[in-house]
Amino acid sequence: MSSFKKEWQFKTVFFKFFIISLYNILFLVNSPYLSASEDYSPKFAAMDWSPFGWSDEQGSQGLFVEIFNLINEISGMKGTITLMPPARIAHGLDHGLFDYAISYRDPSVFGDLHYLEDIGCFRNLVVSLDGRPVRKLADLHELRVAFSAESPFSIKYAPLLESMNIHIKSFKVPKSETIFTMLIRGRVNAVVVNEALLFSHYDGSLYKKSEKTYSSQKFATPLLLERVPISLIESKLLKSHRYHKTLQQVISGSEFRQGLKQLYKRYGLSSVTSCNPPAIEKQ
Amino acid sequence: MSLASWNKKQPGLYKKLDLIEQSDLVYPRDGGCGVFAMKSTIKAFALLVALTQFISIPAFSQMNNKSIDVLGRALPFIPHIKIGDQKVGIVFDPESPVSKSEKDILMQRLGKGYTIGKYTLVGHTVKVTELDQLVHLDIIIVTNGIELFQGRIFKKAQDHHLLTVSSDMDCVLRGNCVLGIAVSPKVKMVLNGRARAECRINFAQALRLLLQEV
Repeated sequence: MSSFKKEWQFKTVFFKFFIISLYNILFLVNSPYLSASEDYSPKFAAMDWSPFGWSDEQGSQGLFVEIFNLINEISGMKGTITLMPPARIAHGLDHGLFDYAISYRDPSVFGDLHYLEDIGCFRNLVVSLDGRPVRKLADLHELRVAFSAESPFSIKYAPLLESMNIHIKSFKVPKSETIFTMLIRGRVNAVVVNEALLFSHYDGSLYKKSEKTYSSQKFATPLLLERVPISLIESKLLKSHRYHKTLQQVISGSEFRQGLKQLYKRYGLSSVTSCNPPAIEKQ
Repeated sequence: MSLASWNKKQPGLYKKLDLIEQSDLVYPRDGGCGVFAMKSTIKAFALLVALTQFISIPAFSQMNNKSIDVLGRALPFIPHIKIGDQKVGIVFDPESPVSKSEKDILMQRLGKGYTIGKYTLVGHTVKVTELDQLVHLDIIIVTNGIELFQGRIFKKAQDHHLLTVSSDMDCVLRGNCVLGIAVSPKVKMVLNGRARAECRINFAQALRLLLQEV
């Protein structure tokens, strides 16, 4: 009886060991670290806020999409890109749904992410009409202001202004296309936009989104809010580490820097590849 | 009579004072103790002296929940302060009733941690006799009523790269506090640029659009 019991115990232990080993083997085969083989392509995400990223019948377009294309072109990678709001980008990177993101660097919006390197810089502005110019943030008191729902203005500025008893009537817009129309038609008194969006409004060559009907309305000199770095963000759960080195080589190379400068020029941004002088003021 | 109701009765005069505060007074940059130089006339000086008693009413100068909200909302503009938990040291003097009551008010809000945006402010009390504890903290709130210790607190802050905040505007004007937050009669933030530089703390340009720099 005793030997049968021992044999039974041995078989049970052996069976458990076999199951655990099998599970481990299956896990490793499916593990991202082993799947860094030839057929794995890195997944990129970028924000869907034109002119940084938007989709039409021709597919995904915009500055960040073009930066992604440039990386693919130089590195020979066959990555894919998906456009989405900033909150979903942060969530996707946190959970390893994407390997990289091209976006702006702002921990108060995205949280504690792994910012690989700054590759550009843009300015956020408050644009108002000439008849009622906004020259300082306190001027926004009791004005109707339109801005992106997930922008730094929405997350940082509006709560700070509220706490300082500067009450604004917020219009959170999901898409940038209509934001200037709202201003021109007088639905809002001011809009918070990035300089690339303002440039595209005047230029009109990037995409046909601006309304010129009420062009007699002149904009006041924009109020500069901040300089925001454009950054390459890497997921902490990166699925293929071999791309990490490749990407670092690409972004430090002169071909990429040269390509970026041309892109920034087309989108009305300065050609600098980092915010220098930074967003931080110097004594 | 409260300062607020006094202001209502004397709007013109208050406006004049506000103007003086912003432009005419030049406060010392060498950490001098309350002595200030003045560009303006003796008339303005007399006016200021007359108003000092109203301004220094403790009820208007203590930090409270509203001040904490303003501080929390300003943190995203101070890159030095990282998101997540922040240890806030509330420096107080057990011998000073003003300081002790301010500490109690602040600890009610911060004692168990107070989350605001992506930051959680966790209060820690620090007696003026135990300033060595400050080195383990991120932000220091200098309570009112501890003027004699402000210089030593600032020295610690300077050595360890800490942000000093107070509702005591004299602390800011003397250069012993980097940021002053007043919530009454209106919300106001005052930055001492020299103290900020000495503590090596950067403020985003955008925040400077909202605060008054001395």
